[in-house]
Amino acid sequence: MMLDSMDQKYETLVEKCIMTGNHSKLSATTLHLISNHADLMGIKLGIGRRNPRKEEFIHYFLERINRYIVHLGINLIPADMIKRVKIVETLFSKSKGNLPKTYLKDAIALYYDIRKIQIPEMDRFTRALRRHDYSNTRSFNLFSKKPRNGPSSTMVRDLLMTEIEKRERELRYQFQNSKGMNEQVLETSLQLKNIKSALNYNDSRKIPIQGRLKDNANYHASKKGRGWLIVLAFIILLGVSEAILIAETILLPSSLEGVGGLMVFFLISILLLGYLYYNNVKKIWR
Amino acid sequence: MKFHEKSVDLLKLLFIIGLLFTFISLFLEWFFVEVRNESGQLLLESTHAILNGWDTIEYLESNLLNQYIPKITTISPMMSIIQVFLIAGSIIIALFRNPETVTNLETTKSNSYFFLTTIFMIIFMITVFPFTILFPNEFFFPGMVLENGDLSITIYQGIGIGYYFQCMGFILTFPYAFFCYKVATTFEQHSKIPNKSIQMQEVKESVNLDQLIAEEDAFMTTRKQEKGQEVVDDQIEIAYQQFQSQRKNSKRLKK
Repeated sequence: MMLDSMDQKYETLVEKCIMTGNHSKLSATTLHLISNHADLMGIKLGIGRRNPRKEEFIHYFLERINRYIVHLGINLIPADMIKRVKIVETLFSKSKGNLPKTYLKDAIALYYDIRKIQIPEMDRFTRALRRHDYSNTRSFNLFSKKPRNGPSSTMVRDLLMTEIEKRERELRYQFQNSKGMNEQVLETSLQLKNIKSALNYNDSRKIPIQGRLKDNANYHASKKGRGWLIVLAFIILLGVSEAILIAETILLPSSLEGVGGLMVFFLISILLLGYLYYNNVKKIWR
Repeated sequence: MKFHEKSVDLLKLLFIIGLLFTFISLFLEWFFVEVRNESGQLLLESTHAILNGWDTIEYLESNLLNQYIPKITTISPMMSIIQVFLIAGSIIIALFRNPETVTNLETTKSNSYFFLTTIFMIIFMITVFPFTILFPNEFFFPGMVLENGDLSITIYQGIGIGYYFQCMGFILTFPYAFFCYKVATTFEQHSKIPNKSIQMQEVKESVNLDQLIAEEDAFMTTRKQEKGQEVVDDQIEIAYQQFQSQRKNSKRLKK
C-alpha cells in the first residue's frame, strides 16, 4: 500500500518535472529511489544497506545481492538490469546529476523494473528460529566448547551437510523451473544457508550479530545450560579450598590428621560435580 | 516459562544478592578462637573481622593463655576499600546495563572485565586470608578443636560467618560474571544496525516526494504569474506524451 502511494507520488513528480523541465531533479530522485529499493532488498535478505562510507555503487551492491544467493544457481537481479543501472549511474555522475533525456527515460523504466523484484520478509524466519527448541540441533553452546573433532561429531556434521546440499539442489531445480520469483523457495534456501554457516562455525571465530543480542537467533539457541554455572562456581570454590588445605598440610604438618578427611571429601566432591557438569553441559550441547 | 528464557534475569538477581553477601561479610567475623576450661567456662575469646582486625577478650588474665592471642593483625585495609569499590561498581553496572539489550557489545566486554575483577578479588580474599592471618598465627583452616592436657583447656577455632558469606558471594556472583564474559567473547557486533523495520522505515523516509512535488508546483505557479500565461515547451510536451504512452504499455503488459 505504501509503495503504491509512493508510485503515485513518483508518477506525479515525473509529470511535474517534465512540465517544468527540471530534469536534474527527476534524475536525482529516480536514482535515489532505485538506490532505496536496492537497500530494501539488502535489508530483507539480511545483508544490510549499501555501504555509503565506502561509496559503494548501486550496481556493485546489486551484484553483491546476487552473490549472496548464488548457491541457488539463479540471478535474483538480471545481469542486463545491473548493466543498465551501471550505465545510468555512470552517466549521472559524469553529467553532474543531469541525465540525458534518453537515459532519464531508461532510469524511470529501471525504477519500475527493479520494483518488480520482490524479496520475502526474513523476519518470519528469525521468529521461527527463536521459538524452535534447539536441544537436538544446536550447533554451539556458550558454556561448553565445541566437541572435539572425533569421528561421531564429524560424521553427524558430514551427514547433515550432505542432506542440506541435497535439499539445496532440489530447491535450485524448483527455482529454475518456477515462473517468476518463488518467495517460499527463496526463504527455505536462505534458512539452509544459515544452518550451513552454523555447522561451519569455528571456535576461533566470533559469531557475528547485528543489532541487539536479544534479537539474535543464535543467541537464543545457546541459552540452555546457564544453571550449571552455579555448579561450576562450586567446583572452583572447592578447588580453591582444596588448594588451601594442601598448603596448610605443608605449612603446618600437624594439621594433616585433622583436615585429611576433609581433603578427601573435597576431592570426591570436585570429581563428582565435575563429572555431573561435564556430562550435563555436553548433553545440552548435543 | 522455561528456566533458560528468564535465566539472565535470575542470574543477575543472584549476582546482586551475592555482592550484598560479600559486602556484609566485610563487617562480620571471619575467624574465631575460643579457649575454655574443663568445665566449659570461657577464658579467652578472639574474633577477626576484615575491617576491624582481631578483637580479643580475656576473661581470665593468665600468661599461659598469651600463646593463644593472635599476633598477626589483619589484611591491609586497602584491600577492603578496593573490594567495596568493586562491589559498588558491579552493582551499578548490573542494575543499569543489560547485555541482552545493549547495542554495543564492547560495553558488555568492559563490564564483564569489571565483574571478573570483582570475582577475582573475592577469590583473592578467600585464598589470602588463611595464608596471611591463620597460618602465621598457627590457626587451622577451616577449624579445629584442640585439647591442652597440661593446662586442662580446650581451644575451639574455626572460620566465622563472614568467611562463609564471602564464599557464598562467590558462588552467587560467578555465574552472571562468567555469562557476561562469555557473551562478550562469543559474539561480536558487526555494526550498530537497528532492527530491520527501523532500517526499512529510514530508507523509505529518506526521500520526501511530497516536498519535491510541492517545490515543482511552486515553481510552476511562479512562472505562470511571471509570464501571465501557461508556457508549455513543445519538447517537454513530446517527452511527457512519450512517458505516458510508455506507462500505458507497461500497465497493459502487467494486466
